[in-house]
Amino acid sequence: MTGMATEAKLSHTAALILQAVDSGCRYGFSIMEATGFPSGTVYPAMRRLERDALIVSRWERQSIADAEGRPPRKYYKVTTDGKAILAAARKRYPLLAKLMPDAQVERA
Amino acid sequence: MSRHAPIVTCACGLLLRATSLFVPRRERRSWLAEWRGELHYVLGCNVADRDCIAFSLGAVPDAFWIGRNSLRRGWLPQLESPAECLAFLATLAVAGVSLAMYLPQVRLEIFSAAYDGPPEINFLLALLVTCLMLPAVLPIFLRAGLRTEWLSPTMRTRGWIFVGAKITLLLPLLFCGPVVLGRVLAASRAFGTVLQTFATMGGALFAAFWVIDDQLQRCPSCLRRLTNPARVGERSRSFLNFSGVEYVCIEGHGVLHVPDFPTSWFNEQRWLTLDGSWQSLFQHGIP
Repeated sequence: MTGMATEAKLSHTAALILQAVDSGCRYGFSIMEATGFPSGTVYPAMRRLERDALIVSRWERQSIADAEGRPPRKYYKVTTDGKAILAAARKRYPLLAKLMPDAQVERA
Repeated sequence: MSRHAPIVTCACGLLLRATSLFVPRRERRSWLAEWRGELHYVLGCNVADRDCIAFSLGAVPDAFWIGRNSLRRGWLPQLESPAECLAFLATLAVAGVSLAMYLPQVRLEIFSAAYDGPPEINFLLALLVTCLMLPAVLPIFLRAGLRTEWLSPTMRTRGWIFVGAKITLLLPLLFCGPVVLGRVLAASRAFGTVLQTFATMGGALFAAFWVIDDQLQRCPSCLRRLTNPARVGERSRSFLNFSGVEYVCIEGHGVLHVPDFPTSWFNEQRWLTLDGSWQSLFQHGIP
């Protein structure tokens, strides 16, 4: 699967979003802030990445959100296949890492 | 935030709630919770009112994407086997005829045919014109699907019987649907007849495209839908390499190679029959 996955191609937008998730942006709004893309681009792209098993999502525990007095968040994480695809995308788009410097990223 | 903050919050909430109707019911709760949670953070970031609304508007393409993909996931498995496909079409036909019989003006129209000039004549004429138009408007990739020389006589016969069954089950729907449209929606009888004729032609074209397209995506041996599409090759390197998509029959009957575009050495799709030695790969299904 991983071997096959590395051959797949990501669009620049999807690669940037995947890079943002890998860099530590774990939820939609932080990815929007890091990439500068609007919500109408980020969320559908994340659905596609999740469908293709490049990222996985999990809900934050309700007790944690309640303790902080806010609604729970859905967190995203890059999968092993996603990392392989991202490595291939970084070769294809050499500026990807530069466009997403770690300083911009909120380590949530 | 501005003094309009409560109004903006309320408007964004309503927008998300309305948009959630496009998301399938089983995913709606989770989808709404995610967007509401995100909106909470956006509202807490002291952004301008218009940015909050712009953020919420992003939910629309997201909901459409989920709705469209869920529909695709939900439909295809039900029509996977030929029996399921025919059962689905039969249900549609029964529903269409029942609706037509339920509406008094449509019932009258159909049964008063002996007095008024039968709607069947319009229907048959519209079908005839559509059949004459079909060779001209059929897309090239669908036209290739009509060539069946590469199939064995048994596969060919089975395929054509299945196509015939699909068309037979679609005919009642093609007849009743336009009659309902023509008699219920149209203000005058003359306009109703015109609407009925054009609806029949449009419906027949759509049905023909669907029947052929559906047939193209089925295994010629067992008539189940082919699965696991895999892209092979690159369009820019198609000089001597195959570039297209490969589909496999879940029962292990064979692999269908569909070229992206016709080349002199691979100008139409090819079916590769897998012999018994491959069966061990398909015993537990394919992922």
